[in-house]
Amino acid sequence: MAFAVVLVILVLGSVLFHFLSPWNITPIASNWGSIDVTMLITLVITAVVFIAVNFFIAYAVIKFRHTPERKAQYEPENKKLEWWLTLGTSVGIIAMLAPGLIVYADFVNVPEDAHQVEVVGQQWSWSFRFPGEDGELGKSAIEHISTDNGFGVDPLDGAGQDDRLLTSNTLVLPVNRPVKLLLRSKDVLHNFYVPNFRVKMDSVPGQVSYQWFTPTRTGDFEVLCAEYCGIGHFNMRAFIKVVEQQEYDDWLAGLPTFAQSLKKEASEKLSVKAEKGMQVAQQKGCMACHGFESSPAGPSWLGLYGSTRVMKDGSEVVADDDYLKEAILEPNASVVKGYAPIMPKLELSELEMESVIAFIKERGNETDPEHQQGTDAGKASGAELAQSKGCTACHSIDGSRLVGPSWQGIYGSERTLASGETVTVNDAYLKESMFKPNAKMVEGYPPVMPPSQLSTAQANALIEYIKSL
Amino acid sequence: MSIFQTLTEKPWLEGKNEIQQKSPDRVKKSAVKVLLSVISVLFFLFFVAFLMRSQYQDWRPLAEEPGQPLFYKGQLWLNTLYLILSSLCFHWASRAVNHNNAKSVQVGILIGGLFAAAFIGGQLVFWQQLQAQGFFVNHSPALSFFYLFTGLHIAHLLGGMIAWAMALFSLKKAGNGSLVGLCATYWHYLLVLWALLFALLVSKPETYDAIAAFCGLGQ
Amino acid sequence: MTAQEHHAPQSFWTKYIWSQDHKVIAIQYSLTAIFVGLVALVLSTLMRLQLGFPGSFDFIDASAYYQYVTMHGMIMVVYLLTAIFLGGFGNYLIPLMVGARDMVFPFVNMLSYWFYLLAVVVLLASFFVTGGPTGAGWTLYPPQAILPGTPGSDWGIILMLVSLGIFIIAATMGGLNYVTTVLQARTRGMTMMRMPLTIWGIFMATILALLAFPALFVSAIMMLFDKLLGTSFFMPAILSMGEQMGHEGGSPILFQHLFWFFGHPEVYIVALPAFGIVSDLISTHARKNIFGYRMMVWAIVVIGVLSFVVWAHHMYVSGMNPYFGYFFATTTLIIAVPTAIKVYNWVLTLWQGNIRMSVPMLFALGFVSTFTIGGLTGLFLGNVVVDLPLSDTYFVVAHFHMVMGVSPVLVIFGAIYHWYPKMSGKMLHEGMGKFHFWATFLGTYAIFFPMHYLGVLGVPRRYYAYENYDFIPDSAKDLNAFITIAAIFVALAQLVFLFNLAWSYFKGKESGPNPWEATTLEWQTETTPPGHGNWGETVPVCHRWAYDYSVPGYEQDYLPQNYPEEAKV
Repeated sequence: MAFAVVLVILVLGSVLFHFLSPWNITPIASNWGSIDVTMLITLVITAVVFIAVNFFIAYAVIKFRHTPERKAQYEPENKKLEWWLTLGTSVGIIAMLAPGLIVYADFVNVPEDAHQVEVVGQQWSWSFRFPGEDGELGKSAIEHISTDNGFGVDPLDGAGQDDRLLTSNTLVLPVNRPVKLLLRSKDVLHNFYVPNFRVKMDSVPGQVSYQWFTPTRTGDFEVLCAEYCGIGHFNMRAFIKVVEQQEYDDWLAGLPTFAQSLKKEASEKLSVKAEKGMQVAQQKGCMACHGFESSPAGPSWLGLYGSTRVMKDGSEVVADDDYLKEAILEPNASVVKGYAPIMPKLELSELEMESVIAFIKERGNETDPEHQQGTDAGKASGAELAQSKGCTACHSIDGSRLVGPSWQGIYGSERTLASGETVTVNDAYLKESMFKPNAKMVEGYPPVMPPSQLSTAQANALIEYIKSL
Repeated sequence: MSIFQTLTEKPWLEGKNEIQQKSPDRVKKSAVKVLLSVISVLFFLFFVAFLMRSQYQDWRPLAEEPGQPLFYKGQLWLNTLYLILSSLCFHWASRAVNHNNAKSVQVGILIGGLFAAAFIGGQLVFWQQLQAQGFFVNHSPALSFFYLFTGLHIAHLLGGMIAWAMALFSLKKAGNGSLVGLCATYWHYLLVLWALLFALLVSKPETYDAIAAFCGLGQ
Repeated sequence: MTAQEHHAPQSFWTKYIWSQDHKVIAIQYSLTAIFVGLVALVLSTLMRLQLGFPGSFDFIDASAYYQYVTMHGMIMVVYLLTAIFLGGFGNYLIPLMVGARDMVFPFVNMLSYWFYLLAVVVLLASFFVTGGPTGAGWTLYPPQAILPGTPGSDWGIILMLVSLGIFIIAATMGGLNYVTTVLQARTRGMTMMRMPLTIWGIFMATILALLAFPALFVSAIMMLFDKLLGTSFFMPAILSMGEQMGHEGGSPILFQHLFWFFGHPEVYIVALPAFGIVSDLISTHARKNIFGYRMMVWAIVVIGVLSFVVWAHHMYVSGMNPYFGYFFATTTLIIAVPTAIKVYNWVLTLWQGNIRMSVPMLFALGFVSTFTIGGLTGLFLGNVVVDLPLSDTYFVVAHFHMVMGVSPVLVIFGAIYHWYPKMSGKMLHEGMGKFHFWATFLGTYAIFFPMHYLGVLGVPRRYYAYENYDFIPDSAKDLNAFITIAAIFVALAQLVFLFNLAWSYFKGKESGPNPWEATTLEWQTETTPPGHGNWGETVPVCHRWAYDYSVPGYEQDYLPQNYPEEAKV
């Protein structure tokens, strides 16, 4: 008896809870209202079954409670009833599956006019890349990833030169335009999910997956990582700002291109372009005759770029880009005085050529102060960098303990390291921790910090920010 | 009594009360069948994993060209011969059980066991040869599968050797030859399994690409 | 009959420790499983403390939290539920219910327990190694499971994988016994269709276990190779902590396919014995045959078979080929049909019954109610497109706790109250039993029903904390606190059950051989508890099916299966 009453109360209570609960699906902001409708159909059908089964139990338990006089019915089976129940259930199932698969077909088939954005996940932050005017994203691979080439774009792929890069964690999208997100990961599984847009998909290292949606209203939305990716999973933040088309276009035009980012900016000795140039120079055999020492085989590249050279015919030439290009493609058109015309003709693409020239310039003129220029160094404040580079995924600024030590009050304090020694947290220590995190681990914290991808200027900005906390 | 017949019975009606008594031998045979099904599922799943992995870009076949690890397969053929001989001995021994020829049974399974040991030894020799040439387990995905397959096969053969030891023991002690037939079944199974694994590992890429495509795993 | 001619064990060691008697092995399995389950219960309480009252306990940092999540999940699913249903109930009930003296291979049966215990020891050892136990989530997905960004990625994950391998060997040894005993060792007259549904459920679950665990074994070995030998089965080219790892070309999705090929049948390995047992509990305590016995058997078989073709519904958002979604959504929703039929048949058994609201019946009905919700929410998740917003949220957590954590556990409790008298000769105290039921049933409902709504809101799972997420209202934090308090209450209530088990053993009311007046053979043993060899001089002969309750024309409202007259319809 008590059981029946409780069951009825539970059912009624649950239904009431459903209507009164403040925890409802987030207000939709994309075209996927059809998912909400399918969910509602499912809810209605399942609610009917839920109520019916429980009420039936409650009723039966009262009506057929044990008494000494009662004798239960003996009915091993009732084929007709079982058949009807099977049929009814099948109808219910089809009523849920059919709309579900129809809507799913929409998800699988991306609209032709969807614009593409690449989303790259890593432990524990997000970054984004746009295809640029050519509408094509450059090829990328893990092997190309370096401090200055966070996206791993192949520097020799022409399509990648105009790609726009966004390393801050706020993605801007135009309203009412379908967008296909191409999902990549550099390390482990992640999942890009905005509750208001409804759809989600894992990003899998080693392949590219996708999801698509059309934002239907402007506003700010939070992005969650929805596939367990290690200790920082719960704070892997990003934001999406949906704006009008014009505002989006303006914003996009303001992002640096991949080509720009190839210029030297950071903590490596050579820019990405020049690094590639070095590889090309080695592969094509240039280094066999040219190097940075003097050699009888070919002119040394040390100090070559921008200098004036005397040619065989007595004329003087400035070794600039044009000259170097000609020298590579038509080697024996004009030979430098004192050298034999033995340089073989080489096949180099435009980009390979540029990269070799960058190498000659940077390595050959190492003291050139031009090298110290970055592209957007220092433009972002320390606070913004802390968010966009993913630091705040693990370090809090309010003293609370997340994955790593809180930055509040850390500057100038004494910390005990895992090795037992104590250290004062100053500029030098912070810099070392950013680039070689596991060198001096603070005691009691797990060794999970990845080395930061920052320019010197950015590192300095961050340190200033930490000082202020 | 087929499954369908069983499941459509109406047990609340009058029925038979007799069930034929199951002899201990029949019970053990049934258990071996179940065991072989489980082992089959295990290797089948590895086979599927192999197919899936083979469709990725970095896959290199194992036996097509001289530089590849399984190009020179002589040792493997020799090992296969040992396993065939081992199976034959067990077959002969299990026939001898039926003819109550205790001496033959003993000789049969003893030699069968020795040939099996020769197979295992031969496989390990081949592993050593591979490693001497620098073909370690992480050399390439296909080679990883080679080590995995041969390692697991050896492990199951070793398990069989335990049963073999028990068969020998119960034969010597109690003249009981019931385990011999079961060993024979198990041995024949492992031989067939080895043949399939060997064929798979040295097959041309076209072959397993075709199988993969057929199973919808092609890329 | 197989070699049951071995002598009864004489010493304490051979009787209670190195026992080959299925009943002792069953109790060994059950006690070990309950012990390790209590460890997992404590872990879940710690998790809930962090979720309900974030930051209150310094020692629960993000690392520790994820380690608790992982160990709680793996212990509960594999080391508690699978072990207790197959190793505990399977071992105890199969020979008794089919009329055998013991399992067909008692020595191997004994070995299976000791391997299981070894697996548990290896798993618990991971708490004491450098880096602690693995925190990779119970699903152990690569690449993160073996990379430094995840806790326990040194020894923790290795011990976990080794422990699973040992468990699978144990399960195979046990499984061989259960299947062969059911197929070959039934007593005279016990046709397959005269077996009680408890046996059908455990039998089918054992077949699933034998065929599905190899997939886990395959994944574990390949992951160990990737971790220890640098192979690239699952590891693509990646950057870890800024360094390029040596792997390339592997596929994380391959792991997921293998894991879930095991993982989905695994949940039916837990559910099918529960289905079988609950049919017998309802039937016995309602004094009425189970409605639609044949359909129930077919449903068990069909569910078992279909469980092998639905696995990728766990992978809808994994990045696998999207066209697979159509196939798996369809098979998943099809499997709902036989499952629903079972629910109808349980409640239809009550109709025109003569229902005793004993403690086992309460738990059985609690199962039906909670399993209905759990199964229904599965329909949301199975329908691929509805799964897109709900995947990886608390909706999933609520669903699987309802169907795996609440309903089967209610059945375990009900089954223990039901069969304790057979095992010990004493009744469990009824008052404590009723308190235990109400606290557990209402408490778990309070925990998991509202949790679905957090999922609908979009609150993600496997999050250590939810600071500063604007879309999560403050009221959700209050709900989390409420759920934590309910969880602590339910956890504490289990102490009453444990006390009852111990107290009743010494002080409980004498039960006699068949206190529930049930028809099945285990209640017909010569002594209670049954002695060595179960049946004394002669093994019973089976004359009828397992559900002759309230048969017209008989004074008594039940006819035991070995009651000799020909069955009247």
